[in-house]
Amino acid sequence: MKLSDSERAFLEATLPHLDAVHAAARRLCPDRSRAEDLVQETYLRAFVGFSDYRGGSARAWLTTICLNVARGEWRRQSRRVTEAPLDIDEVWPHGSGAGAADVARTAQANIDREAVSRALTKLPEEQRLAIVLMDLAGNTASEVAAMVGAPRGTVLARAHRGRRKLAQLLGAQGVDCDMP
Amino acid sequence: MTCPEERILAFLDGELTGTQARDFDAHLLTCESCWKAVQEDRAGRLALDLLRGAAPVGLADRVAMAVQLAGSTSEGPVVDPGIREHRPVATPSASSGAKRSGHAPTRSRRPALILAAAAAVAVVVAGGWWGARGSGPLEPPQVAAVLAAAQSMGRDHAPGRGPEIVAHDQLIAVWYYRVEGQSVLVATSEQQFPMPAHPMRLPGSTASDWMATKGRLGIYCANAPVGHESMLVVAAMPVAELPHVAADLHLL
Repeated sequence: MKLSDSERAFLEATLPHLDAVHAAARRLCPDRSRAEDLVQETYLRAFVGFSDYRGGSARAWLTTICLNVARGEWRRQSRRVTEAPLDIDEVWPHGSGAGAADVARTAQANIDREAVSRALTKLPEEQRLAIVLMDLAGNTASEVAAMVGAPRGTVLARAHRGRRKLAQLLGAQGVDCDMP
Repeated sequence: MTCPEERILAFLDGELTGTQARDFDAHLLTCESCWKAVQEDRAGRLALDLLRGAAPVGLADRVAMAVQLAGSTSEGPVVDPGIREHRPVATPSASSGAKRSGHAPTRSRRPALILAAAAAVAVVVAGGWWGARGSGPLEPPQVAAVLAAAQSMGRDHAPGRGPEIVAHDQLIAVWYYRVEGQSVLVATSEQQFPMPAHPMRLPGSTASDWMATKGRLGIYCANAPVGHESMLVVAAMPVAELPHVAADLHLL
């Protein structure tokens, strides 16, 4: 099936930000499968509204849609996501192809990743959201301020306090935060 | 002593002038609380590096396919069954009576209708199937059993007949196909496959047909009246492609 001009223009403008949108979605959803569904829904809604898109950061635009869709889902479920279950695909990614010598290092990195993921869910909602939208999705503090309707300084403070709390939680678990 | 957090934030955010930053650096040597705040912030950022990474393989294709289907549907459903180029590398012999005779399943449905429905899936998706709720169990045991077989088949499963499964008193025959280098599982049964809790419905198709996804797997169900053969097609492909795969395998 051949892409139309509008489909091609949309995908060229937005697919470079897929990693960022997925990084945000993965932390806004309880599991990997629903995160991928959220990404797809985000892109479909963005495609529908692409004719109204007036430039600016496509990543911030997509992240805003992603956040709104996730919030709609939270409202429907009348509950907030409080903990991400252990995702076996995340702990042992398919096709990692690690040799025997790398197994211990890979295992430690994956265990640490899971520890960070779990610690993130322990943060207050506002701090977690600031971190997800800024540090994981790569938006600026000003862009996140517009998304969540808070002053830029408030967003910076939430992210800072969240990072400190995250480091403290991980330190208490013996996870080395200085690893590259 | 507790220093203003605003000054720490400005330092971390790179907002201080050269002189101000040098002064704050000197301050960090003597202020334990600011030093701790800066170190913890940096440690938190380093830890978060572990959560950044590329989106899963195949997600870009899935998104592009969904956008493409949404685009084609919004301009009017234009479905050309000839546009697909699924060619089984090798398939089991095709004749009727799969379950009991040991032959691969065949069906006699209306491909154009089903393919049009597949194109319309995008409309359903755009309408918010993400998070949609059905009335069925989250994952009926019959579907779970077929998914378990599909999850264990890998990319290079040899074409041919698979095991017979009995789940919730339903007898299910399993067949493996190869389509464009991908393993495809086809499960057939003389009873209908129940709908899971998160189905994608197929406008224009029968009410009992449905689609769903689980992880990388797409699932397409074509339910027939009781006594006729119902079918599940499962593969690590975008779900909207599966009716095309079924049509190319002459299962529809």
